[in-house]
Amino acid sequence: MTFTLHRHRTAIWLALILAAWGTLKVCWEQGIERREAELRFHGYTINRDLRDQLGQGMMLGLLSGFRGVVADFIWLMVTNSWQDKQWFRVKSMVDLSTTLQPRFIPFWDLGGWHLAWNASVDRRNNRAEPNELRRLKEERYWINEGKKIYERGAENNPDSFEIWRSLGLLNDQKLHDYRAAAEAYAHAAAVPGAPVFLERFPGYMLEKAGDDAAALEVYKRLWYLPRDHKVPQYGYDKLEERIRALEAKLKVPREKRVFP
Amino acid sequence: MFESLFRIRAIARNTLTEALRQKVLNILLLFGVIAIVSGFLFANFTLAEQFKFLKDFSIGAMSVFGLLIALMGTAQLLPNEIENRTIYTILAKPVRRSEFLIGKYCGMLALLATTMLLMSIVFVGVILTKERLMINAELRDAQGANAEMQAMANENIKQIHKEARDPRLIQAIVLTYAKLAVVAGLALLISTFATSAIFTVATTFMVYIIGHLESVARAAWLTGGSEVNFAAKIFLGVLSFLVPDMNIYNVIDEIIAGSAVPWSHTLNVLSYTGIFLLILMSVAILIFNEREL
Repeated sequence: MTFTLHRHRTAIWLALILAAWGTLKVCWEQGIERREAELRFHGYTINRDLRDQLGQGMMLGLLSGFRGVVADFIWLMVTNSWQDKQWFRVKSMVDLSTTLQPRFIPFWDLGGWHLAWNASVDRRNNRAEPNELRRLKEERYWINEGKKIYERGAENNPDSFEIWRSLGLLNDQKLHDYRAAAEAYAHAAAVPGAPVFLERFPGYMLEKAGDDAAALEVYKRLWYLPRDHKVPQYGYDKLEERIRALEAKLKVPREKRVFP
Repeated sequence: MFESLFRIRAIARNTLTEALRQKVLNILLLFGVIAIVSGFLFANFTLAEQFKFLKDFSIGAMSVFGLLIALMGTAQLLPNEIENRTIYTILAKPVRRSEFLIGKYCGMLALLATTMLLMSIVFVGVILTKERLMINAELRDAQGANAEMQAMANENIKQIHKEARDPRLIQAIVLTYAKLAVVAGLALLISTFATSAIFTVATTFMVYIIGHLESVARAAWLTGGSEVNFAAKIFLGVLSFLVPDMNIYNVIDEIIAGSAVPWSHTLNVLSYTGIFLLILMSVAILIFNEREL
């Protein structure tokens, strides 16, 4: 009888401990999860699609807590597929690696470059396709796929200047959409820690777009920033050159010029 | 109070010595090989990729080997003592069962700390060697090059330093240790009522895997609505109450990927681990006290 009572008492203690801890535990875990979402650490959800794409072995790796290693293996496959020019495979592997580790910038940066530069050029030079229009269409398709990667990357990593810079380069050199390029470079330059030279790029792009007045405004804004004009990194010599050229080209009245 | 601590320390020391005699540290040799090999493979990749691969594979190897040690080592602690009948000799002395259990667990934590420390030393050695080699290569390439190339080489050297001497790796190592401590705690709890070591290993590993899905279960339980039926809700609720969320340690991957993880967040995860281990040990003691030996 005493033994049974003792056992009951232990069971009650166990139940009480677990109930109290369980409630605290769930709240605590929810708090940690919320904080991780604020820090943008949540990039993927385990679902059937992911399982189908990963295969059994990689899924087990993921469930064992080796997300980074799984993402690395997939990235190695990206490189192999790129060398074999299997572009659709490259695209799906880039999607998978970026899904698993959305905060690792080179996955987005290099993934977009593989598609927008390597795949597009390969398709444009595809000798097996005699129809030039079809080749151009394929080229455009891969440029847009690369752009989508950059756009998703920028959305996931607003604090990264690298992806915005790559998006600017793509808009400039591949799509020749200079206004969009100016916008992307402006985003890149606004990120803390971005190289200072990026600040001038929106101006260059607006000049390329033919909007000299807007470009001049960009250069003038930079010129009047309270900075030491002798620091070479700020490139004030280049700014002066562009401002002088644009003021002359736009025939700005002397009293309104930075350099009368 | 102090006598009790001395007894716990004696048992912990004995557990650590026994484990070391079983040549557990030989596993370090394997770790060293993996870390060194992964450090020098993938030379054709960018700087950031190379360092990420090296860190991922090294911390991954630490986790795998640590997991094996935590699982196998802890699962054998009680069955071995019972099989060899040494537990009767110990418990015949003025040693409480709780002291025995805590001592055993502390011994296992000390073993895990020793192996993690040694693996970390190998890891740091490999990463610093890699840093040296990459900087030498950059300097070689920059020799006699134009000013632009030299500026680029300087930028690369800065990035190499930043990647190789990243203080956030300490956070990653500490969190890996915390994860292994939870695994060892779970194994010890299960071994208090298990009848064999293999049962403990299999069940603990299963709980470890389920722990990585706990957040999914919790979300379905709390926000599933009418899509989740009543029985399933009860099941998911019990699962969320009992199984630790192992995904909270995934922050290690974020650290390696280069994200800034605040120490406050790391400390929050460590506090969760600490409280969870306290509960685990309390439950394990309650069950072990009832066990007929």
